[in-house]
Amino acid sequence: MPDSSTGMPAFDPFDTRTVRDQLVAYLAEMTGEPVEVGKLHRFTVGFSWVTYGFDATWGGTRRALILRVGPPRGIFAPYRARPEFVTLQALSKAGMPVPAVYWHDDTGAVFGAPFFICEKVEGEVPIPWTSDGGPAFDEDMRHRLGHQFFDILADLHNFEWRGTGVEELDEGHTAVTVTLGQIDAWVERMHDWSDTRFPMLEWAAAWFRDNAPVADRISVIHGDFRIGNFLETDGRINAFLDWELVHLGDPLEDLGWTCLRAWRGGSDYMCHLLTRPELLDRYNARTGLNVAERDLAYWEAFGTFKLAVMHLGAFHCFEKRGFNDMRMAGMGAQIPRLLLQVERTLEDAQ
Amino acid sequence: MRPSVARLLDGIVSTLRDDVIPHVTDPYARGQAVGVIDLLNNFGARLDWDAGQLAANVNAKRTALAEARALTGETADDQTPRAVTATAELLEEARTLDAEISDRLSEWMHSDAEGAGAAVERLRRHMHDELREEMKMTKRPLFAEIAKGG
Repeated sequence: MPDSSTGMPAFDPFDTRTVRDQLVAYLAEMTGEPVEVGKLHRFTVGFSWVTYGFDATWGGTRRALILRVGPPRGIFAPYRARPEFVTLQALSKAGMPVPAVYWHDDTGAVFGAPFFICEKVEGEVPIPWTSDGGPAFDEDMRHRLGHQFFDILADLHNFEWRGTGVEELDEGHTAVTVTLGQIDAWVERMHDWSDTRFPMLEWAAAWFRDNAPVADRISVIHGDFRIGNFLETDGRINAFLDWELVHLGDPLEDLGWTCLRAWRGGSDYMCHLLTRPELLDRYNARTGLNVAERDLAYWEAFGTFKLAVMHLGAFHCFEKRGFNDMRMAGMGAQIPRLLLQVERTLEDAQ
Repeated sequence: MRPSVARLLDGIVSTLRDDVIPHVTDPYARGQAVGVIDLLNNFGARLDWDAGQLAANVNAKRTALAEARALTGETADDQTPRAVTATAELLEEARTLDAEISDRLSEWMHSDAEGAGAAVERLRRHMHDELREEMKMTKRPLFAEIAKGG
């Protein structure tokens, strides 16, 4: 049923029959020929974009594809598919392990929400949470995945985005202003998502501003580069996923994010993969940067701050936008734990 | 972070009804889930946050703020412990105090005035202690089980 105020279709993630009908019509229009679409399978992982897997056949070829739709009441709504689309297009062309993209649309005319379609990459997604809090991998697998993981991150930060479609993401920041821009963006989100102010987060934001580093370079930042966001088969990383927070920034923002306690529990291995000295050696050698533990500490603290703000966003979705995912309500209960982690990481960074 | 109790219960009931019960095949298990909905429908309207705990929380904020002000030479507020009143009022007062603590932190962090550093430290101690209290009531997240579906 269309939204009466906009005339656009209203997106209902549970109404897979309607989504499938809309998809069939769209694919026929894009390919210029009849398209056969199999059953839509909705993936329940993730808190943000709604993800469906499906098979589609046209031109005599069957393809395994993914449809990702940005729900109007999701954490980062209103969504835009284009930043992720142009980035994946450019990185795929450069040979980076990312899904190949087909089409995207930000008008809402097709499903009532922004979306993009990409290839479905095979593989398993290792998750950061182990039931007993122990290691996620054996030693061999830890090294194999860890080396690829941080090499891919280094390659992303080495990627020359100027002259590619990623230039669209350039907001004109300099090495001096780019981190301040990120701090402001997250503080704005924090205030949008919570009418209660959190002194710990306000104190942290003020400290980040006062101590904002100058970036050595401005790179493509994934924004959520961690265990849980890549697909692997037998120790080989096939693709990095979930580029919704992609932007241009200081590469250490991604590197610090990999060090968050949330992705490793009590382990000394960042993202259950490498120790800090191991990852710094590997990353520095591949990027030519000279990142020290102290630099990492600022960005680990900032990452923990961002994660706390995301929890406010998830809670806001549940409390104010009627998004009925119990995981989001549960994230609200974990905010004190995250605020203590913000405090500890900030003290380490000082 | 406290959701409104009504919204929390409404979310639980909707999730059980729309996302869980239709997929539970065992009749006894389905009946038990409906029983949970029944309980929440009947008792939910009588539940609210613990006003005594909220009042203690508000008093700790007021005390920290008053002591921090005194360190900078400002006149301290009346620190008579807050009487337990309606939770809505207490939640509103907690919000107001958190906003004031946030503003004062920012002001004193960037001030050279005598006592400003000590005032920041007093408020930071309060923030830490308050979170420690919250953690006494916070269970470990069940992310591994949630991710694997139980």
